[in-house]
Amino acid sequence: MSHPAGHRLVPHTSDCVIEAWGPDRAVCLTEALAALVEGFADVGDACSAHVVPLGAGPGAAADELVSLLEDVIYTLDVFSVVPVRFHLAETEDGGITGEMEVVPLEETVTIGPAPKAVSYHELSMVHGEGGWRCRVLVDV
Amino acid sequence: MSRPGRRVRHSEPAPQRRPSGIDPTGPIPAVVLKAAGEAGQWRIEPVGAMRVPGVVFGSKALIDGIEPQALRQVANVATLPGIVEASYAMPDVHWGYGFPIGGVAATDVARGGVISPGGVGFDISCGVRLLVSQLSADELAPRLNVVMDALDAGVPKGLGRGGVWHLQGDGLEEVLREGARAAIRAGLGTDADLARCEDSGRLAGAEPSQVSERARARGLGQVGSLGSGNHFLEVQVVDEIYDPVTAEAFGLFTSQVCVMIHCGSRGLGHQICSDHVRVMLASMGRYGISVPDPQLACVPVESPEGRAYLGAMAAAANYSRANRQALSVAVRRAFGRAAGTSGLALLYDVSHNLAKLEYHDVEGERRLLCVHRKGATLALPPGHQDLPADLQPTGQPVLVPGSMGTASHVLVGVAPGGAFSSTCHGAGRTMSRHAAARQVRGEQLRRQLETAGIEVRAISARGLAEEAPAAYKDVDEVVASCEQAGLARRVARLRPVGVVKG
Repeated sequence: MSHPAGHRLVPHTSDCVIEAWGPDRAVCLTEALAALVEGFADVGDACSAHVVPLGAGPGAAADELVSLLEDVIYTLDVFSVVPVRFHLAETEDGGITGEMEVVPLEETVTIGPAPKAVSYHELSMVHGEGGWRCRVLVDV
Repeated sequence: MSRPGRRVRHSEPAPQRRPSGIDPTGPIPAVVLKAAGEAGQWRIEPVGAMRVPGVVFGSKALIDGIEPQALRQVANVATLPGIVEASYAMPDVHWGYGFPIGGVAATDVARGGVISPGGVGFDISCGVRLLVSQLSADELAPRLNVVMDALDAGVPKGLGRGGVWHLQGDGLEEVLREGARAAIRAGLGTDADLARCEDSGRLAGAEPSQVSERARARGLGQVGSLGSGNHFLEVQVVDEIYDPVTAEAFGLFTSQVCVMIHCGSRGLGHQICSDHVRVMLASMGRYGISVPDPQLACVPVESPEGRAYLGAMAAAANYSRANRQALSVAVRRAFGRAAGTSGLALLYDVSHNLAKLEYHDVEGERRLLCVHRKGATLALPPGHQDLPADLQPTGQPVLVPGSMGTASHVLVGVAPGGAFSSTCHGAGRTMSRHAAARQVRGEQLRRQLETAGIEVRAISARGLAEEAPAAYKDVDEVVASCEQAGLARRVARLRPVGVVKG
């Protein structure tokens, strides 16, 4: 039986907390990245032929989470593009590799403040009975 | 008569990664907040690893509204090596990450005191400047709509690249070294502006070599832009004057039109914080340091990693000051085109996210301290050597932005002051962004603001809703608490007539 995958944005007084889960690490990370984008942009049905490579680790799962989120924030800030889909897979050595499909910022609808940085406060990415779960606070 | 203490238990889940030295499975002591002897002061007596007490300023109503997580963070900051006097919290304190937002902590440099990027925050040198015109509200009223359109068009805001100042050649290097002075050299303002900037617009000690390529890339296309989140530009009117003598010295008069700019160091500052927190997480064990929250990662000020961060932080502070200076020029141009006058003088520009090396008296001794102000504003008293000559008699102007669409305030530093010459930085959130967005419809809020005579130019309805006044504490009560606690004195209250938001 496969474990479900999903994500949600949890209230925090001044910033944005992401919780995500999935049967394996790559799916859990993909859900977290999707939550990051949902916090500020409505990408609708946008699709794109433009892809940007993504990768992290190998290292601690929480560090990989921070690294991937920071890559998305960097890409948004410097190239003004918004990811609409993520494709991640685990590598044999324990890292994460993949890519994100991106569209120009103008092709999306801004619905919230831009993510600016990833905090280590209450950061967690753990494996348990239900698969992987993560929780991370993003500064906006 | 003693007032009853307030017992607060925090319910945070234990972080996954804790440095060694603190038992993550051990019981977490309750944070007990008690009224102190002084009016408007509350204390958290040291428990566990706390080296000093926590001291929270605020009225009973404000104190009752503080989240337990914020008080836990006040206690956590009290564990930092070298901290002196107390871990302070301003009346607008709220839950942050690592440090509370509204926290002040000073460490003794010569006694192993630490520097913590988390004590500055991601948005290094985020701050406020206030430009004052000679227009009255009545004179502006017929042109307000046009002025707001001009500001909307002329002030870059929101996500992505784009700023009013397109840097050429080594331009970014000069911004990082020289701050607002670089903007003045590029023709974006005058020397009179510099005289009214904290540190004359340039924080000493900047080391651009400590700024990563990634941070530079994020900062390059954003000089002279507002950003998003809680940053805004407001056209305001002086609504009430509390201290006529100081108001006159500051050039403020009733019904005067002003422009407040609230923004920081954009992506560059955030990246610098991220880069250096990571370095400190990896290196603090070498200095025998453990902290109860990884976002409090720190190293001694007098260490290679500490000096590297201070150099990068100063560079980001300079970027922030250049950013606000460039935006001032955009504001003057917009007023020139739409209101027929570009004569907006700078009253002051001051940061509320910064660590500075300052001398203070501690236990009867003059000591060099590293004063972290995270969501707290410097408030220098009259006669302080760091003030320009014309502000020596009055003390430093302190600019306190309220929540969007509500009042903002001009305060002034007082002697002896408190918390190492610090005071509040804003209203302080009481409601999460999500809760605000659920409870308040952006378009409805826009109509309410416009019914109240406030013109709104915002990129997203949800962004507007997230910053709804209901999501914040009462700024009037916050500044009154600061005055009661002797942290600063109220000079004037400003009400908005126009809001530009990213």
